[in-house]
Amino acid sequence: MNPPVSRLVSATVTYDDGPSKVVAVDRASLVISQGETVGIIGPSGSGKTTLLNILGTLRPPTSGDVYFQGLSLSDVRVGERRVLRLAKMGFVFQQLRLIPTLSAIENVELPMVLASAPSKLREGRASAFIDAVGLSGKEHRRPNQLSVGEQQRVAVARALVNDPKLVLADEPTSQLDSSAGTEIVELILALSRKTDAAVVISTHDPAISKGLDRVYTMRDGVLSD
Amino acid sequence: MVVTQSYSIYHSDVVVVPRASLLVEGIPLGGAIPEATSALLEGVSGVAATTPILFVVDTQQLVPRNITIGVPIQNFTMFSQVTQVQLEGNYPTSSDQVVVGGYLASTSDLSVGSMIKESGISLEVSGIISTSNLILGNAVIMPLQTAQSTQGYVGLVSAILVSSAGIQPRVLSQRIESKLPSLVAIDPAQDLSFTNPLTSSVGILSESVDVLSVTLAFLFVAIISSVNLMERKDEFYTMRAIGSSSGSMMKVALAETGLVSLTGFLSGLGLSAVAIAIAFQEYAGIPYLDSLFNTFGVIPLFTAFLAGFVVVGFGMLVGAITITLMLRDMK
Repeated sequence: MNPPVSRLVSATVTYDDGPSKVVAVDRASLVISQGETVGIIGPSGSGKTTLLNILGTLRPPTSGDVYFQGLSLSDVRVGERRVLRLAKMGFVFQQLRLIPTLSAIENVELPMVLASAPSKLREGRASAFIDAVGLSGKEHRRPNQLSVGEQQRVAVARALVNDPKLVLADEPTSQLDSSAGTEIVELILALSRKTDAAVVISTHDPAISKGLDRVYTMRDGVLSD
Repeated sequence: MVVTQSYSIYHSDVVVVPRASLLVEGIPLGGAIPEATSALLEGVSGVAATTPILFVVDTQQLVPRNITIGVPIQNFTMFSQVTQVQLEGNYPTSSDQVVVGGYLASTSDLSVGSMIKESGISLEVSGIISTSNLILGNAVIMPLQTAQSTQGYVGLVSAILVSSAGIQPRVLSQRIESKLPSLVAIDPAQDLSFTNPLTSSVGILSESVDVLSVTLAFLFVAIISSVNLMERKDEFYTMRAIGSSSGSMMKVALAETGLVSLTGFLSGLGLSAVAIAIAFQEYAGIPYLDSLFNTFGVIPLFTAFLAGFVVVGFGMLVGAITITLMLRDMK
């Protein structure tokens, strides 16, 4: 069995909602191994995004533990979590979140720029990823000059360009029709397979989860098989 | 009445004017005194010399354009003692010669040797004086008697400049007023407290406008700098999420707000130059191009540089505060 990349141990996230507390994630436990593909299926508001944010160190759990490659993230400082995200994680956001003033290839280069990679290496890798996601010839277009599907491909290339160990895709198909959605998921899986990265995809569409190694269901913050 | 004793075009220990005269920036407006008063003044103990002078000013303009100055032919160099004057040609040597201010010469297409007509009398331009002084730049300076005859002030002058023979100007002016009670003798140490209400009102108004302008400028810089960053909050969140450091984001914010502030400052400076050029053309008859490239004569270069430094610095400070507040929410 492959070594675990990420592990949640009874992770709970609660929000204050006036006098009451909302439990967004309720004692979730999960192990994600290297090269494994995991689906989290659930309706909107079920806690999927919060769960991915915990896995991605974008927010700490209110209680419970998160481990990344055996390291407890509760012992890791903010700056170190940032470096961890930059070097070992890739994100595909629900709202795409491309930088509108940058071209497609510049958006793909961005994580390498932040990692201070040499410019030749950046340009070469960014071009290769632009090719891999099928956007050759459109690399100099701004996001607003691309279709939503093409923007999503740029977001996928950006998430994978730094060879992450863990790819977190939050509803990557929510703005696409089913065939385009399936293509995007296949693209994420194909590119991740090359680097043996673990992939966690959240979705409300059960059809998307076909072909994933494991699928969990999330409802009202509770994660179940 | 004296509005100010700041004589911008000549120096004098005491200026003698008629009681009804209004003295603005050293230029007597209204009223006249006989030129022969000079001889009476020279009889006052402590008076070293007198210079009768005639100013005829078209007061219909906000900034006077048609200014005739008459001075004794031997006193033409008196203006260069107060303001920098460059002479092209010569000062008059005869009663039918005049010196013309540079701005008036350029707007009226006059050069050395040109002829002008005043009250039917032909006068030759013997010299053109270049000066940053608005009044002299727009003046026709001619021998006193020529000015008196062409302007209808025969035997009269606007003021008599008195130089002291080593005694305090204050004492001298008191002596003059006691001997010639129909005149006002103004000296630099004169008690001008009676003008305070007027000057302080003008001062308060001017300072209020300055404070309002500066406050609005800083307010706009703050709003534009912070709104520019706030509008891109999602981008900063994204950059933070994919691993951008606080330092990198701070650099981006500082570079952007600095650039925005600098652009705003330079645009403001450019617009000011245009406004100054329009105002000078409109009110002083100075050609647009002359004043457009002389902005730093009106706004000193150091002041402009300091203002730019402060504006850009303030914009970047607002940017730094805005991004710091954003980063606090992005742990």
